[in-house]
Amino acid sequence: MQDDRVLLRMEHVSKSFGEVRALKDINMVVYNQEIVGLVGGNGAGKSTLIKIIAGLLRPDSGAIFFDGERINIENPRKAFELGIYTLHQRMEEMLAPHHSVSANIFLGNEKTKPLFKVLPWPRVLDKRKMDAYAMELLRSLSINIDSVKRPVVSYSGGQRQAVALAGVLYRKPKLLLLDEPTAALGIKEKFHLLNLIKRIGKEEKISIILVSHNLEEVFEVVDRIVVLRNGEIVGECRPCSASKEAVVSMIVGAKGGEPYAKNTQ
Amino acid sequence: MAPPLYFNMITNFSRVVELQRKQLLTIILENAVWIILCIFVIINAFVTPKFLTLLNIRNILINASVLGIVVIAESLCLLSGHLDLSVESTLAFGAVIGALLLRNNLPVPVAIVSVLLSGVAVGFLNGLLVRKVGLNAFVATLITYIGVRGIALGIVEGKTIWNLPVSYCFLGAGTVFQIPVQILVLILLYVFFYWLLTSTKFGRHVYLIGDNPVAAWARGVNLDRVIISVFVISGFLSAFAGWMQSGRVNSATPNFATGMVFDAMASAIIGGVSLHGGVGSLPMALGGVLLLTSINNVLNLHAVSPYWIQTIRALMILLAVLLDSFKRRLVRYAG
Repeated sequence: MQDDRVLLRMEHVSKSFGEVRALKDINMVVYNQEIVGLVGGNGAGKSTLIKIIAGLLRPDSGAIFFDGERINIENPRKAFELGIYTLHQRMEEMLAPHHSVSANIFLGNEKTKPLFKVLPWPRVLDKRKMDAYAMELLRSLSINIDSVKRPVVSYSGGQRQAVALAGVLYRKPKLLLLDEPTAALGIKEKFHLLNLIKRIGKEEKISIILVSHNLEEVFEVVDRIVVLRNGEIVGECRPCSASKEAVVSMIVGAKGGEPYAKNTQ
Repeated sequence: MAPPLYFNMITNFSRVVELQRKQLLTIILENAVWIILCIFVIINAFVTPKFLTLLNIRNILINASVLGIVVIAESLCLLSGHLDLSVESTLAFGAVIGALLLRNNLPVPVAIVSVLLSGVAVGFLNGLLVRKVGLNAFVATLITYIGVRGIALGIVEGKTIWNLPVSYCFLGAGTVFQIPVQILVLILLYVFFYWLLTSTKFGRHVYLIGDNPVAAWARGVNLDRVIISVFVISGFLSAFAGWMQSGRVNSATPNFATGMVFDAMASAIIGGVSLHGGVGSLPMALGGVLLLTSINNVLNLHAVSPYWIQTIRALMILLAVLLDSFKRRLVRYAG
């Protein structure tokens, strides 16, 4: 479902932690409305790469272009301003547990209305509007939450993940970074979340980078797979034209992979 | 097939009953302070002579007013996930500043503004120490707790200043239609701050920061602004309570309200305000204040030795904390 416009381009990005070279000369492109799967073994540099894009780490060298402009993502807030949002393995850590689902979806972006209609100030929270909007948003994502007024602690892990995802989608992101989103979930919840990810990529017109250990789910969801090994991109392929065995051999570094030509436009 | 349907109806019915029972229990636990207070009042209406008289109730409310205002300050800080130990020192500091300026023949409005500004200054300092210097709130407010009372002691050299102007004392000793001003002010402040906490963006952010500061930060809430504001409001209210206290006793001493911070925290906790932040409400905290004050009052009426009051208070807090943890478990498993 991608179009040909480049959303994110990384050129010669490197990052070291002391002696350890976590990322070596990374060149990577993400197109508009594309879902990219980032795979690799432990210590391959997946998390480092994601953290750089999310503004949690700063690269030692290299350039990052977003929407055609060269940018400097110095902190998470800067990333939000650009439209880059991250959801972690434990997304629920990014929720306020004793507050309602609605309050969590609108966290930091609450809707208000004037207290007296004729005066612009003081403004109060428009709770009814937020609850209605939250309910509608969750329904449109087919997330099964019976009441947006109940606190987040009373819902299951999968439902909390979905609420966190809804809270981010409400902000209309351009690029969504998913760092092992299904790692803490049960089979049924995992299936549901993957479907959700696949759908929002198409319907909400956003690009997604999905980091995962699970090749099954990567093949299921993504448009393109990027394989990292020892801080380098060792191959790219499309799930429709590559076998899992080929990707596995790229991850572990055995021969027999069939890497595509690297995208270097 | 009739039997399965019938069976279904029964199980559904019992589930509904079960759910309603849980909801009822949650409602009872959420309003536990007021229910306990009601029971306490009813029992003492029979047991304690002169308890349920207009004069005594007025007495309880007057005794609750200064503490009640400090509890608003403390609750705001607790809800945002911070402790403020300095409230009682700020109270004494404000009272002393006001009295000192009046002693030096400055007009009453100037004294009042200075009292309130001194509270704002202490609160701002607390906020800066926590957010800009990066101290733990306990440590930061421990510094001001000790230091600000030290300044209050220093500027009057430990002396008490007597005989304040009548207009200055109106807040603490005046009446409107025979109702003490301090009771009216207490009610107004609770209504206003309840509204601020539940209906405005600022109030919602105070709660959310207390519940999970990382989440609030990650979603772009300005932590510095909200938390420093909370400390400033806390300082302002404490100094305001100092003005009220000095008006009530027509004097000001740097030893005002010694130990009141523990009463304030006890009231908030009895009212269900969580020390971890993000959970609790002002009406419940007010219930805590009234319960604590009524208990003191009853013990006085029965001429119980004041040396036992502390022990009874400790038991109250223990009970409140146990109720709170029970409620928490219930909320978690209600779904």
